[in-house]
Amino acid sequence: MRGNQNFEDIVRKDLNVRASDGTFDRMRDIVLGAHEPAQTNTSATALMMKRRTLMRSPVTKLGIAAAIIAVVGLGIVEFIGTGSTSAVAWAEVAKNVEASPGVIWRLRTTGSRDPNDDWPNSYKITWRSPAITRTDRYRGGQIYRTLYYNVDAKTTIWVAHDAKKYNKEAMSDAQVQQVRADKDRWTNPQSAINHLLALKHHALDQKMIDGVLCEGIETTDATGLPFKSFTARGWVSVETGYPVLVEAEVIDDGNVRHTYTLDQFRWNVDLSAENVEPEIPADYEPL
Amino acid sequence: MIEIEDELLKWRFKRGSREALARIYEKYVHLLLSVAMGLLNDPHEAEDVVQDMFVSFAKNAAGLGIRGNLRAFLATCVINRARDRARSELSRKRHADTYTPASSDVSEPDQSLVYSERCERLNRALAELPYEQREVIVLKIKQEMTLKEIARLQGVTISTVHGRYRYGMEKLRALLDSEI
Repeated sequence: MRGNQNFEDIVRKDLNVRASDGTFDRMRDIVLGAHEPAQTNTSATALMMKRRTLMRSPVTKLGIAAAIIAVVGLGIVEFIGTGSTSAVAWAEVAKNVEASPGVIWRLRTTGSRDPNDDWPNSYKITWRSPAITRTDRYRGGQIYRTLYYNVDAKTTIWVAHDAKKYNKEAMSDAQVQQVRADKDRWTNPQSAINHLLALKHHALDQKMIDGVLCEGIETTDATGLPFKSFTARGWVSVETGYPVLVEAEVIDDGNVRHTYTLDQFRWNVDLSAENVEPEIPADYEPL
Repeated sequence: MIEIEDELLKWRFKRGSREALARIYEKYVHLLLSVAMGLLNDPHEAEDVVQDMFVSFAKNAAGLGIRGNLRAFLATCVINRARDRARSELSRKRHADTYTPASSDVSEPDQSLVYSERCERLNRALAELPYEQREVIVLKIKQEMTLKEIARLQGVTISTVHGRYRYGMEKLRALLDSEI
C-alpha cells in the first residue's frame, strides 16, 4: 500500500500529457488566428469625475513594508566598499535598482489587527514607476481592491471589485506633491535605499530561493524605527544583481508581532499608463 | 498563488497583445491538456476542449473578467467545457462504444497528444470513478486547487469535496494496485 503523499505524487507525475510538436503548432496558429485585440480604453484623464468621495490614500501612509524595503536597500548600499568577499556586485545592485524604470512586487503580511486579515491568502501586488503607483489587493486569490495614482496625469482611481464600485478623480497639486514626497522618501524601493544608511547589518550565507542562487544581508538595528524589535533580511540574485526576496519581523510598541514578505519582484518593467491603468468593467458603478 | 508574470500577461492580453496570448498558450496548454485528459480520458476530446477554450479566450480579450488567478481561470474554463462533454450522451456513447486510445507510446511521432503508458493506465483508472470524484482528484492534484476552491466550483460543501477526494483516491489506488 502506497502512502497518501506518495500516491498523490505518482498521480501528479503520471498525469502528464503534452501536445505533439505538430499539434502544438497547429493549435497555436488557430488560437492566434482567432485573436481579436481589445480596443484601448479612454484615458483616465478624460474620464475624471468631478464628484469628490472619500479617497483611500495608502500612499499617504507611511507603510512599514516600505520601510523594510528601504532597510534592505540600505543594506545593499552599505555593502559597497566594505571589502566583502560577496559574489554579488553590491554597487551594481544599487545602481540597477535605482535605474529600473518600473518595478512590481508582491507583499504578504501577518499581524494586522484588521479582523478581515486572512493570511496567508491575502496579499498586495504593487506596480511602481516614477509617475505611477498601482496596488492590487487580493484576498482568497481574488482581487478585491485596486488603487491607482498617476501623478503626471494628476489622476487617481479607486476600484472596489467586491462591491463593483469605482471612483475616478483629479488629484490636487497638494496631493500630487504628497505622493511625490512619499515616493521619494519611503515607498519607492529605488529611491528608499538612500535614506537609511545608518543601520547595522551582517552578511548571510548564500542560499537558493525559487531556484535562484541568492546572497543576503540581515539587520536587527531598529534605530529610528518605531519598533521594539526588528529583524529584516534581503536576498539578491547572484546572477542578476536584483533583489529577489525581502522578509522581516517586527514587534511594534503595542507588542504586536508583524511579519512582512516581499517577493516576486520584476525589475525594469515598462509601466506606462496605458499598460497599468485599471480597466473598469461595464457593470461597475461610480461611487 | 498569483504569479506576477500572469498579472502582466493578463494586462497585456486585455490590452490586445498577441504576444501575451501566445505566451499564455505556450505556458498553459500542456497543463490544460493534462487536466482535460484526466477528466475525459479521450485525447481527441481533450484536444478539442482545450483548443475551443483557447479560441474563445482569444476572441474575447476585452470582455474577459479575469479578476483572479489566470491559471485557475483557464482551468475553470476547461473544466466547464469538459463537464459539458462528459455529460453529453454523445460523449458517453463514444467512451462506451468507440473509444480506443489514440496514443499510448511516446515514441509515436504522428500522434496529436503525447503521453506515457503509465498516464494511459492512470486515465483509464480515473475514468472508472464517478465524474465528481475524478474532477476533485484532478483539480486538487494536477491543478493544485484547495478543497475550498473546488467546493466553490462544484457548488457543494467542503466536507462533500473532502469525501469525494477520499473515496476517489481510495478507489483509484485500489484500481491501480490491482493492475500491478
